[in-house]
Amino acid sequence: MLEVIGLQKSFGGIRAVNGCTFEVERNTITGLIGPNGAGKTTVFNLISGFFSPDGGKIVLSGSRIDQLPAHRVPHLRLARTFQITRELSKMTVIDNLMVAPLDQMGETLFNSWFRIPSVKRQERKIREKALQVLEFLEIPDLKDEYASNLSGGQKKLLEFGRTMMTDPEIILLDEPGAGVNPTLMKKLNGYIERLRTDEGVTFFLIEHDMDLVMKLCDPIIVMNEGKVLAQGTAREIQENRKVLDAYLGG
Amino acid sequence: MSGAVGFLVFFLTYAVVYGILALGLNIQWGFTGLVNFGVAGFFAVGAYIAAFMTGTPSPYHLGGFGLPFPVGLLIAMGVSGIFALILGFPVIRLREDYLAIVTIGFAEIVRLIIVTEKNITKGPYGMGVIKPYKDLVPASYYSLLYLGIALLVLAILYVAMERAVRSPWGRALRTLREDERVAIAFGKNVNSFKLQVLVLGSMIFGLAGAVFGHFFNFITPNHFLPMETFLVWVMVMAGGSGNNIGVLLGALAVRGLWEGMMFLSDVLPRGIQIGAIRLAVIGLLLVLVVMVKPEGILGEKKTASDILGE
Amino acid sequence: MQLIVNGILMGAIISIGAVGLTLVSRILHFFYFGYAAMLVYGAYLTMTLFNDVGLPLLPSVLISLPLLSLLAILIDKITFKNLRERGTGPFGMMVVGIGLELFLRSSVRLLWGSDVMRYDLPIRRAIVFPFNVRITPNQLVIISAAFALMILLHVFLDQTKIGKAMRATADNIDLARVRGIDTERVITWTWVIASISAGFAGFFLALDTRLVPIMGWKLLLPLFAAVILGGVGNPYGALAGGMIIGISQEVSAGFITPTYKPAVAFVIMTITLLIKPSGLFGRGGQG
Repeated sequence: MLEVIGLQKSFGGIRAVNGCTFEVERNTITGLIGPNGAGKTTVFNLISGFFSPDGGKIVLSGSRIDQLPAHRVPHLRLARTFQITRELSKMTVIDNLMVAPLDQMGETLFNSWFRIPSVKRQERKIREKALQVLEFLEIPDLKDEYASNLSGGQKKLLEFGRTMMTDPEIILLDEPGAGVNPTLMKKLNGYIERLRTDEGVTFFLIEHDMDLVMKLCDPIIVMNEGKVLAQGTAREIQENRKVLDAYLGG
Repeated sequence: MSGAVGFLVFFLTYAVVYGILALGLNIQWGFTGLVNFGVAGFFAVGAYIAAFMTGTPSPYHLGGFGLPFPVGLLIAMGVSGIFALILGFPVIRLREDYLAIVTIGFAEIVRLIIVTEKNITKGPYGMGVIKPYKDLVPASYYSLLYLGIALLVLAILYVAMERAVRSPWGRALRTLREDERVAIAFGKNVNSFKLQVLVLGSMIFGLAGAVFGHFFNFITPNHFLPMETFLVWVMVMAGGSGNNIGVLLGALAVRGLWEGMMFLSDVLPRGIQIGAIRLAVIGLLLVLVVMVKPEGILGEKKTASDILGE
Repeated sequence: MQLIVNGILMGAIISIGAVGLTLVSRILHFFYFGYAAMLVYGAYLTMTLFNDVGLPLLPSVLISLPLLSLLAILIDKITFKNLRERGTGPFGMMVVGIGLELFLRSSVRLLWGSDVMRYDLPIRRAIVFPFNVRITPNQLVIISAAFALMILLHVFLDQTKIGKAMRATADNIDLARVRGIDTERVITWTWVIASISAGFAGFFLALDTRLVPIMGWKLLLPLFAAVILGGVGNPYGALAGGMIIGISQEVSAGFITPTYKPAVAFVIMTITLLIKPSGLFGRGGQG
């Protein structure tokens, strides 16, 4: 579903990603782990188009996306979250969700003045969808709250919900577990599993919490110094000598 | 009309002109977070274009083409929009502080052109602008009629702007103001939105310029100093970025302060220049707004879109 | 030929002013419009000391500089220090800077009046050089003093401890902090250097032309152009950028109406931003 081939990216002479190659299979929950500075978030930013690579290819559902402007990438049904939550603080929770869907007819000046029925119909659908997402995430009461008033964990949920609004085929999660309490984490796991089995969504996630990764992800990709070090099931990774060295050696 | 009423009408018309400017800056800065320090430049373009279009033919400046007043307004808006498009197309992607310097530079260049190209604009001597519909009412009531016209323009603009921003379009603008990367991650073409807003807002500045010219009936490059830009910024920031009523109140209050300071000249010792005091007060207001009340007096409405009739 | 000489003169003035502005822009992390007012204050303080108090010219300049530094540091303590602690972004700082510029410029009008003034110096005839190039003695003083000042600045930035700390901070603020550089102290020193830089630029400009409250604002666009062309935060880049802007502005007067000189700076600046926002000499680019 998502193929990364020989990816390269340097910042001021430092090779953050150095010939990275891997594949994320459809309908998996693929984990991406590695010591700090291994280049994981850079890989995410390259895939989602925020950085353009110095070399290599990224292929999503059969089409190359590495040269696309960042705002075109979501149209290939890819959605992402951010390592540090980026909620739209001065907007309500429901507006945070309703802004997410792509190709909204109402997003032109003309249609905001002349509100033809089809614009309204689409807007009504988007609103229903947003309410469903809030229902799914079990936070329907928060819909009119400013996003800035949410707790850290609620913000994580909101970010997750925002990706669901675009009906993606693949979701990139950058440290979904960071700063989330165990109860909420369990719930989040449940949501991820349910989306995968019920809707066929593929997940690709960066995570530092090893327990979580080992339980949730299959396969797991390990990165170190900008390259893929190992790839395999949780068990294979745990038994891999190179991985152990990378983590211990720093 | 008596002196006091006459002054009130003059003051209100002036406030309406700045109200139009404030609505223009609010769509750019207030809703979208787009920095434009070139307000005075587009204001000038609108004033001069309207003057050329509606004026009587003259060998000393461009035009006039004797067109009707509303046509002049529309062309003034159109030309300001084209200027915004030409400026914005290359520079819209710049970071906000660079954009600030580039737009302020643009406004200065517009003013330089007006000063220098005397054959087109009569340069620093200034040019006259016609009084539209002046035969409709007796001369002594004309200023009241013009206040009505200006208010009508402002009212139409207000309704149009409110409707524009209370929509999915406005919601997208708010998103890119709050966090550009989120907007991009959800497929919004950020540069396109910014360019639309730059052009739309600048057309409104052009409209304000046209309304100003026909009100003052005489325009010179000195009416469009960089200070005018910051006057509008004070109005928007103090009134409440993202709230159209707030910025209109801001325009009224700041204009009132501006005119009110004129009465200081009776109190202050001779030789103190009222112009310098005014500028100092505006400067101080800018500092205070950021330091004390960055969100302005009125906050913005909670819900982004009212398209479903909430 | 005359135009090139004029250009070097203008370039020297812009260069001297741009060094301070580039360091402020980088180390304080925003574009400070109030810098224009610092130029004006420098020129006017010197005038008061020279014309009214009756000190000789050089001591007048040298005494005005610490006064200017004190004023700049005082303003920083009242406004920007607060905003830094609150985490206000570069844009808020910039707006405050504009407010200060308007306020300070007006205060010059209130303190000294709006009339055109000059230093009480005898008007001396221009010296005629080969190729019919005319240079007044004042202009010779400006050019040589500016170059001497550039060397002094280089020595300061390259040899002294605080100068090195300033350059390190300009290079990478976070790294400087990690390495234990006291950034508040660096900021104080930045204001001192900025005052020297602005004070001399204002003095030179006033010596070459005359004193009006708007003179600083008019030089601001070329100054920013020089800063951006040289790479924000790169003092040597600012010197070179200042020269390039000064010479291009003056030489352009040979082809286009001289009132369009500021437009030349504007065009160079905008093109730089579009093609290479980090400037000709790199390093900067982050305001």
